[in-house]
Amino acid sequence: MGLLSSIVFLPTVFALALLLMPRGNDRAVRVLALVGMLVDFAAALVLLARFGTGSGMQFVERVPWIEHFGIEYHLGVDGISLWLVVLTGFIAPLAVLGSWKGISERVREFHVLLLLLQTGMMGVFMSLDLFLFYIFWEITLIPMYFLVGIWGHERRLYAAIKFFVYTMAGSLLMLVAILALVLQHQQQTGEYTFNVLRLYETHVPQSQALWYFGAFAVAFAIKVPMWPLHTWLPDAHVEAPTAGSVILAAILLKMGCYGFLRFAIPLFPEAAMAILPVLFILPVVGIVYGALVAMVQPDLKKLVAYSSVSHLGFVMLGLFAFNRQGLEGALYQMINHGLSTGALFLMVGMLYERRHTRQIAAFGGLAQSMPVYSTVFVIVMLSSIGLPGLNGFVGEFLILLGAFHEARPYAIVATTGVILGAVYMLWATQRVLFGKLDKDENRNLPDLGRRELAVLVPLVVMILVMGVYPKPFLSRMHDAVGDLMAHVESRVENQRRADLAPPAPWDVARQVDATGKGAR
Amino acid sequence: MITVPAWNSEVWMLLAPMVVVCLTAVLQLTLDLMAGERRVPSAWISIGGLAIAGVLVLGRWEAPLGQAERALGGAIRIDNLTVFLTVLILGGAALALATADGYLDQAKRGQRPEFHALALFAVTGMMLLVAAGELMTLFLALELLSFPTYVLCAFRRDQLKSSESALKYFVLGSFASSIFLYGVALIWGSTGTTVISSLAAAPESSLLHLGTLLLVVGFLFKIGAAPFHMWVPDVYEGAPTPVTAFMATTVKVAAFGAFIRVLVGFVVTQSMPTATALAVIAGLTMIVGNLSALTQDNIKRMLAFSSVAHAGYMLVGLAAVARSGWDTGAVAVLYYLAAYVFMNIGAFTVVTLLSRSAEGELQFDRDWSGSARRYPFLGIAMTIFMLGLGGIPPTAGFFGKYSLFKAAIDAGMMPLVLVAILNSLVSVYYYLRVVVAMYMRTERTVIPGVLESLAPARAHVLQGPGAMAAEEMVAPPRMADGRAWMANAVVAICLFATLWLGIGANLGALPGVSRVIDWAELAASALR
Repeated sequence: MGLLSSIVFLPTVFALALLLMPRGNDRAVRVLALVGMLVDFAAALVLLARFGTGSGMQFVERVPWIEHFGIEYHLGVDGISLWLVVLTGFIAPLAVLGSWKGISERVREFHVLLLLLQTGMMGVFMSLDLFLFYIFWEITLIPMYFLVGIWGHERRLYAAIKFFVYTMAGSLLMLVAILALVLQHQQQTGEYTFNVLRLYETHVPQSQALWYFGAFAVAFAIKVPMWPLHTWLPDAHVEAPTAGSVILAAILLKMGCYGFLRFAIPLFPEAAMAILPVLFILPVVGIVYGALVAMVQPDLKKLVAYSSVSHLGFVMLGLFAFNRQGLEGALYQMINHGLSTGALFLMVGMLYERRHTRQIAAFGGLAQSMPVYSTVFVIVMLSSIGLPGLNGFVGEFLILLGAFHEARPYAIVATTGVILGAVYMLWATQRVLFGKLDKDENRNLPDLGRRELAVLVPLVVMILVMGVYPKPFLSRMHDAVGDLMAHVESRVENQRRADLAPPAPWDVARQVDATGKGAR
Repeated sequence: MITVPAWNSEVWMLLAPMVVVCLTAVLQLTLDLMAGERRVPSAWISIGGLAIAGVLVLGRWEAPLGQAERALGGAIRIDNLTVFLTVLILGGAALALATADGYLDQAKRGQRPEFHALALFAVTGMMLLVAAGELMTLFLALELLSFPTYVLCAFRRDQLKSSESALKYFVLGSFASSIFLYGVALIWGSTGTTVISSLAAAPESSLLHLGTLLLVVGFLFKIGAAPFHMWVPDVYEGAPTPVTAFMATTVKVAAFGAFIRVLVGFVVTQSMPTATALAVIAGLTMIVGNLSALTQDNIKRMLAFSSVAHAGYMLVGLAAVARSGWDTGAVAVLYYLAAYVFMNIGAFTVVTLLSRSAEGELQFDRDWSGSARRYPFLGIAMTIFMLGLGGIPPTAGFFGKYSLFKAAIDAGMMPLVLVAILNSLVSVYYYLRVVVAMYMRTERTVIPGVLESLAPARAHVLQGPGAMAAEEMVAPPRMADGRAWMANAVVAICLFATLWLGIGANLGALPGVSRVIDWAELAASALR
């Protein structure tokens, strides 16, 4: 079993072990789940250490699976997926540790689902076979649905079903597009394959490519979520238990962005470039809209949820700018968002455990009763705003730089999002942490305990490290981003040439096939 | 014209599987007479008989169509398609019958051997149906399968719903049979033959078209396709649950198998808009089935409408066959049938296990609330079956739908696929309702009599920790509370099959998705 398979399936092994444990010992369940996540993270770190420079996929594992349809078990990692794998490994133990106290019912089932979710997410980031990818993509849906539906808050059923149905709608469209694409590939080359790297070479006529790209884009845009497909997100986030919100924000949303980078854009670059104006407008609307809605939220968790809509708008803007700064900024910002929003959700959860409310108005002056908590909160909040010296700045700067080159007006509007972000974050911080400590319930709140520090300190350290020294992170993305850009540029260039001088080679090949007079 | 066969040993070997099943039925009745007060292990006898028949049938896999088949004048064809479908039918029947004894005990009805005998006669009819190569044989097989099923539906004479179910099924079923027979008569009148293989070459006429149309309507009734689906919910709801499982799976396999054979045999070759008609019916069936299932509170009724919807999905495959004549459609339908058998029997067995005194407590929204806590295995299993029926990976239902959609896309029927996709999405909602009830609602204490009179308000009254404090009165136990190991084993087998047919790789002797698809392809190749 290769390294990548180990990373994917170690959590499943631990999940099975949990199922076999005798009932009643919740502490042992938590410890075993934590160990499972840590082992998985260690494996991800091994991957990081062994990851070499150079283009192409690394650590490739490829085994025939359903031979009849040319479906393979095909895993691989490059500079685009590497950091997402590491991030997934990093966040998971913190999510387990963060819900140590918050989850007291059906503890075993909770952790089994978290571990299964981990398998699904790792699989999504590593799959190079479209069919395998689709299966992992859908598998992530099921544990999250249960996490929200069983351990969520008051409106959990509504939120869980909405989450499931929204995502499923996109996925099914994607499935049709996958099938159509594979069929197209087979008609051109005679080979029936789901291998993404081979499908990159498939030429799809523009009229169809727009539909296929649209299907993929809708599936991923729902997950990201891009405005106007975001409405499931606030519900799911607010109703989910802390660990669910953390993983949802830090990892699951990234699956949507990753999908654009690995699948939607490189599979149909011509179509993507053709509808670029629309693709620019949506993130920009999302940035401003998310920020404005976040500003007026009375519920702290909902505020963080809407801030995600805004932040992911930045990621998507950088992604669609499609130059080196934009892409690397988007990738960097994906990790940043995972760290800072993950931390924010954890901290909202800690407040909730103490007070059983998330209303901003219920707090005030916490800086006096919980000084350590307040310090950490301010650091994380500043990272989320994008203060220079912290990680958020690097990402947002690169994204805006990239967008400025490609689409100046959009970049200018997007920049207002940074300001608005500062407004709602600072205002919320002010209302929660500062001001008078005028509510009796808040006077004797205990400050962060050792376990809670163990959850937050790694996040704060990473926020600082990524803020001052981004080079090791960016350098490992470099080759993969270069590959992606070269691929898309050559495809678009070919298209342009084909438009000038028809017929293109593939059309000739098809005509020969159709008439059956091949020159062999 | 069918020649009278020479009844040599080869012909007997050909018929052996059906004879074995028939004799097992007779054996059940005889043992019952001799046993007196002693308990006969009826389920084991049935399973044994079905297993022997299975072995005999498997012996014909890939065997050349020999002298015997020619001797029977084409009335019986034991080709790969027959073998594939027969094995599915036998397996499905064995799984459904394995739960019957426990059910009947709980329902406090004796007459177990009669139950098994009737079911086995019906199985004989199904085997004959998928082997029939001639329309009159087909009709007789259809009747042989239908009559015992009508009686089985009425098996719980003590319940009004059961009798209602049987009567509805009988009246509507007879009506459909006569339409079918009228079609056969017209076909014979216009061409002078009823052998499928010779019909393909027969000259077309409007009379033949009319006959074919009636024949197809008969089939659409049997598979429960809209607008001929009206009987399905009432019959499935009223029939005893193991019978419902039996009807919803094996009967459907048999009817679809025969339908494919007739369709490819001589319907698609005629100059009628068969593909378009099937596509329209497929779309209609899916929409009607799914939209009706959305609002059902009774689990059996919900599964009944879901099975209507599934007939619609499979009709998508048949429409693809009619459109392009490609085998992919037939292969997809065969694979889907295999997946469908396991998912549905599994789901119905969970229903059997969770109902009180055999047919109570089927309003899943309230009666099943929180049940996954007390029955964790059944909770997981039902979740997987529901995900499978909803077509969500990593289950057989997903792979089945995937291959159906692929076939339809290959055949250039994109709009139909989009309709099917939308329908899958709708279906996810009601399948998840079951999961929501089992996992996400708090358990309800059952106080018979009191609860029933409180109507909708009770759900709120008796939820949460306070409910535990309420005085607990004794409710009739669920079957799952007893030692229902056989039913649990059936659930486990179905669970494994549902998962393995979704993502399994070939592991030594254990066939994965790929090998089963290969088998389905070999079976479909018999249609050429």
